[in-house]
Amino acid sequence: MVSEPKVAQVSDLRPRVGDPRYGALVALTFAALLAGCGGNKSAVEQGNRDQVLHYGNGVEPSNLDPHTNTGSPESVILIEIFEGLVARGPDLEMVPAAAERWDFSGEGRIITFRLRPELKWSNGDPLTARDFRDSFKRLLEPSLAAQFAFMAYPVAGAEDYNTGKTRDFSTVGFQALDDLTFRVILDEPTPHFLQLLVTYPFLPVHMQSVARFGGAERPGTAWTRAGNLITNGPMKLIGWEANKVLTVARNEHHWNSANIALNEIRFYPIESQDTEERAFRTGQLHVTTTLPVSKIDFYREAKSPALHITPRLGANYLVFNTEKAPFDDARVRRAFALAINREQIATSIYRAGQTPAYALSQAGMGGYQPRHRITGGPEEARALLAEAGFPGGAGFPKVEYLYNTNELNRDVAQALQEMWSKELGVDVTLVNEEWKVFLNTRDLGNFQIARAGWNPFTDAPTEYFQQVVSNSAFNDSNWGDPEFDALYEKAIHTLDPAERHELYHRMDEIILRDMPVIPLVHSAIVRLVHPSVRGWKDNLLDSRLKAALTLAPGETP
Amino acid sequence: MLRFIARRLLETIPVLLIIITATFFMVRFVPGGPFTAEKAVTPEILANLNKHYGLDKPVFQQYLDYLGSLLKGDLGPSFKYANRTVNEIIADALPVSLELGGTSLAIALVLGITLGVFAALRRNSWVDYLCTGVSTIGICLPTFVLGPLLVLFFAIYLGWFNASGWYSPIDRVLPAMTLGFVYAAYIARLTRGGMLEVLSQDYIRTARAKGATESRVIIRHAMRGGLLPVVSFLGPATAGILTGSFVIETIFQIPGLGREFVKSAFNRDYTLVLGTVILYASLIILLNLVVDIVQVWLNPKLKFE
Repeated sequence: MVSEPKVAQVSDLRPRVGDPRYGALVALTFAALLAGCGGNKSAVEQGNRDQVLHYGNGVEPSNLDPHTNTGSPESVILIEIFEGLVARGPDLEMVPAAAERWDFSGEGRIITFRLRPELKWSNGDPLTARDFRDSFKRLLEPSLAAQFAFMAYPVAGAEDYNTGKTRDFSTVGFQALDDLTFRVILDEPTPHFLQLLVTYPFLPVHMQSVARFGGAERPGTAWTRAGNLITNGPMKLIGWEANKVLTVARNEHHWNSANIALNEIRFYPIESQDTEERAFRTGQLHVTTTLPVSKIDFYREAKSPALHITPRLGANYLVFNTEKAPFDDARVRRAFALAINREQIATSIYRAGQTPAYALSQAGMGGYQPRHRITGGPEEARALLAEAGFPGGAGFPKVEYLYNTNELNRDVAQALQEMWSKELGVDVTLVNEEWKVFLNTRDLGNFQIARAGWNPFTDAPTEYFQQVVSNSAFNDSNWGDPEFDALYEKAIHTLDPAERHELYHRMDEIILRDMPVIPLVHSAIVRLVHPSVRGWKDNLLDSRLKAALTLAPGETP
Repeated sequence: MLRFIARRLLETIPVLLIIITATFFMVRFVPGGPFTAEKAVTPEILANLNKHYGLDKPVFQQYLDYLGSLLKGDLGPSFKYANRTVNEIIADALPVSLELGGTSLAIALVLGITLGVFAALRRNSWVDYLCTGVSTIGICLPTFVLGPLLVLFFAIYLGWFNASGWYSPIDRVLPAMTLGFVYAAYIARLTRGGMLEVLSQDYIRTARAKGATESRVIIRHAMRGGLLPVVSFLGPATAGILTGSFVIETIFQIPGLGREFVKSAFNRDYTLVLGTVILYASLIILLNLVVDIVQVWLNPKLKFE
C-alpha cells in the first residue's frame, strides 16, 4: 500500500533531474510556505490577549481518573478540572473549596463539612454530599484497585472495606447527612487527615457518567475522555489530543466561575527538557515543567525574570539493606553517611537549587524545623569504621551501590564512590539498572546500598518517616525499631503541634543514630514562568490552582 | 508474479507468529511489570490490578488469549494509557509517522538521487567533491545534532517556524528536513556508487555508440541499473522512516509512533509493545516484498522465483 507512491516517485523524478527549473520550484515552494508565517503572533502573545495559558506539563497524562491516578503530571491537570471538599491556597494553607466551612468534633475524630449550596457538575447536574460519599465508595472499591486508596485508611472502616473484609459501606465513616452536610469519622484523631483530603484520590467523580462507561468499579474505561468527562472544578476538559495538547476551558457551572479570568489552559506533554526550553524561547509556552541544568546559568546571567528556582518538598537519599553484612552494623552505616560531602554533591552535581540534606525530614514541613542533623565528618567516619572492625577499610568486603540508569544518578554514584574510597578506603562497585528492573531489584532486597527518592504528597513529616516504619510497604531497608514505630503511631494521632514536633525530633534522632537511610539532598524546582503570568506563587509542594492565574497582555520575555 | 506474491505472503504467517511469540514472552520475562512504581503498591491492590488485566492467569493462557483477540484484530487495552486501546493509539500515531516519514522520504529521494547522479556524472570534479562532502556530513551528523541546529537557526533566530509541535502544516518542515537529510545522504552515496559502476559497463558504451542522447543514456539506461542499491536500501529504510523516529519525535514533540514504541518498553506496556512490534514487523516484511518486485522490474537478470 505504502510502496506504490514510492515507485511512482522514482519514475516521476526522471524527467526532472538535472532540470534547472526544478531547483527554482523547490525554492519557490519554500518561500511561499515561509511567507505565511512571518508576521504571526506567538502563542504566548496571542494567549495573553485571549487569556489562554500555555503550560508545559512534561509527559502525556496516562489517564484523568483521580481515583486510579498515581502520577504528578496528571495531578497538575486534575486539580483544575476537579474540586475536592477543601483545597490549598497559594501558601499551601487550607482553603474552602466545595465545602464552604468545616469543623472538628469528637476530639478531632469527626470532621463535618458544610457544602456550598450552589455546587454543580460541568453538565449542570446538582452536586450534593451524596456525590462525595459515592465517589469515596468508588475509591475504596476493591475491584477498582486504586493504588492510593490506602490514603483513606485513617477513616473508620475504610481499610476493611478496601481489603474486602466487609461489603457494607455503611460501616465506613463517610456519611452524607443531608444534601449539604458531609461527615468523615476517623478511627483516631489524625491531624494530617485534612492534608490528605486535599490530594487527588479524594476528588469527587460524576458517578452517573462513570457508571455509564462501566467505570464505577473498574479502572481504565472511557469515561475520562474528552466529550465524556464530567467534572466539578473551575475548568473542564474540552480536548485531548494524545502527545499533542490537552485543553481545559472555564467551567461556567463552577461556583467561582465569575472570578476566573483564564478562558483556557493548554497542557503540552513535552518530555524533552531541551525541546521544552526551546518552545518557551520561541513563545510557545508560558510555563515550563523544568529547565535543563545546562541552561540555568544562561538565564541566571541574563537576570531573566522568567527563571524560578525554589525548594520543593522531596528527598534524594540512599537506602541500606540492613539485613545483610556489612550494613547490618549501624556503625558501618553511619561511617558511610559521615564520609559524604553533601555540600559538594548538591552544588557541583545536582546544581539546580537542591540543598544538602542533613536529616531525612525537611525544614518547613507544616512548621516543623528539624533539630537533629548529621554532624561529624570523615574523621569520625573512619573511627566508626575502625570500631566496626575495618580500620582504614582493611578487610572490608566488596560492596555494591545500585542506582537506576540516568546521567545524574551516575554522576552522583561516581562522586559517592570516590568519597567512600578516599575517606574510608573502601571499594564500592557501581551497578545501574533500567528503572523498572531497578525498582524490582530494590523491592526484592537484592541490594546493599541503593538510591531512593520521595516526593511527599503532603507537608506532614510523617511521610518521610513512613519510609522507615517497620511494617510500611515503602520501607526497603528492612530496618525496624520498636521505639521508632511507637513514636510514629503516636505522632500521627497527636493533635497538639508542639507535642507532635517533639516526637518528630525524637524520630529524626533515631534515624540518625541507626542510619537505615542516608539523606543526601532535598529537592528543588527550576522552571521558566513568563512575566505575563500574574498570581504565580512558588511553594514547597509546587502546587497551585492555575485557573486562578491571570495573563497580562503586552509583556515581552 | 501473482504466485510469487501469494507464496511470499503465506511465508509471512509463520515469521510473524515467531516474532509475536518471542516478543510476548520476552517482555513478560523482563523484571518489573506495568504496575511497578516508586510508590509501592500493596499486595491486595496489585492482585486486583492483575486480575483486572488478566495478568493473574498462567502466562501461556495469556498468550493464547492474546492470539485469540489478535485474530479478531483486537490488540488489547493499553496498560499505561488506561482509557485507550492499542488499536486507538496506533490509529492516532501511525498517520502522523506516515506523514512525517512520507515527506522525509520524498525529500531524501529528490535530494539524494540528484546529488548522487551529479556526483557520478562529474566524477572527481568539484561537483563530485561537493556532493560527496555534503552526503558525508549528512551521514556523520546525527539527527539529535542537526534537529536542534535547524531549530536554533530557523525557529529561534529567524522566527520562521515553531520550535516544536505538530499543530499546523508549517510544523512539518523542520522535522521532515532533519529526517530527510540523513536519508538523503545515504541515498546520495548509494546512487553515486551504483551509477559509477553502471556507467562503466559495456551496454552504456553501446548505447552511446548507437547515438543515444546523453540524457537518454543517463535516464533510460544508466539510472535503471544505478538505482538498484538504492532500491534494496529503501525496503528496510522505508519501514524505519514510516514507523517513526524516536529521536526526531522527541526533539520536535511529534505525536508519532516511534516514541510510543520506545516508551512502551520502558512502561512495560505489554500490549502496546506487542502492537507496535507486530506493525513494524509486518511493514518490514511487506516493504521487502515490494523491493523484491521492483528489483525484478529494474533488473532484467532477475526473475520471480
